[in-house]
Amino acid sequence: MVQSDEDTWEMLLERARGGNAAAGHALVERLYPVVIRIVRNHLPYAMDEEDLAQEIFMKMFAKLDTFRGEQPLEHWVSRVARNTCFDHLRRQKRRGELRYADLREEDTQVLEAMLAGEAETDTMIDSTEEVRDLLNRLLATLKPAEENVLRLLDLEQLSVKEIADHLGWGESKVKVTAFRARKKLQATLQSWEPELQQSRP
Amino acid sequence: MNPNTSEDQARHPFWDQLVALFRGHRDIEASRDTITPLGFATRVVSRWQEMRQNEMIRRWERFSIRTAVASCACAAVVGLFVMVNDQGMDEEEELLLLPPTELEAFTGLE
Repeated sequence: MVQSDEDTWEMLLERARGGNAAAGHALVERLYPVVIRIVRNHLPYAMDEEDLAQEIFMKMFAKLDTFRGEQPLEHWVSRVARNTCFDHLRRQKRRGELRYADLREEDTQVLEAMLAGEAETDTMIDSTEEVRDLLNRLLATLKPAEENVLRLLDLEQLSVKEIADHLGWGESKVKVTAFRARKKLQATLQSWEPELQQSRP
Repeated sequence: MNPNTSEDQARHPFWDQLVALFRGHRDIEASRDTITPLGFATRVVSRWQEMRQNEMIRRWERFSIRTAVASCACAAVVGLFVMVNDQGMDEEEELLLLPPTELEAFTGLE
């Protein structure tokens, strides 16, 4: 059976719950932009974004019966997607600190380009991978809760209220956690400055 | 500590630049591919269908195992009942096989 664009979420959900493949197909097609956006914001190191998106959709289908319709489906799927990404990120190796000496050549290139103010021109940084890797490595120095808050706040650009709702925290706790996380990152980045200045031609 | 007033003090320009750079690249990527990659939905749906089938098989297996356990339990109860009954029957049969005089002595009849 072909799904038309007019099919509502409720109709698709109802059919998908009954195991209708076409309805499942339509749900994946419609929800893909939402899922892939979250995946790209929180993609763990050395993980394929399509594999992660597929895992999220499998979880969505497995939990479809638990969706009560109290919130829009996109919000519910976003929550499933974020939790899956954070589970993977939590499993990644954490490190207490990241010294300048630990950085790879690609990382220092990104930093040098930023220092030189060439980042906007994209002359030295031509792929998201390098930037994402450096971000991941920096965020891995934080506690998991701090990392999650900063990812939601800075990368996904959610509001403090949205983050508080997602994590089930108070808004002040979100703000304090973000502040602590930023302070830690600031200390790490400041410790790199002398070596970065030295490495400039 | 008031995070609202001191938030800017905790920001490092490198971090802000890095985040801005990431967002820029991400948004370019997002505008390039807003539609599902070819075959992605089909792959997900076929895995989902497979998962549903496996789940039904697992449910059936669980049901079969529980039924088998319940049947074994019933059989054990019936077996025990029959065994106990058989022992009672044997005792009654022994009593019936005793000679009449012994039977009278045994039951206290003169």
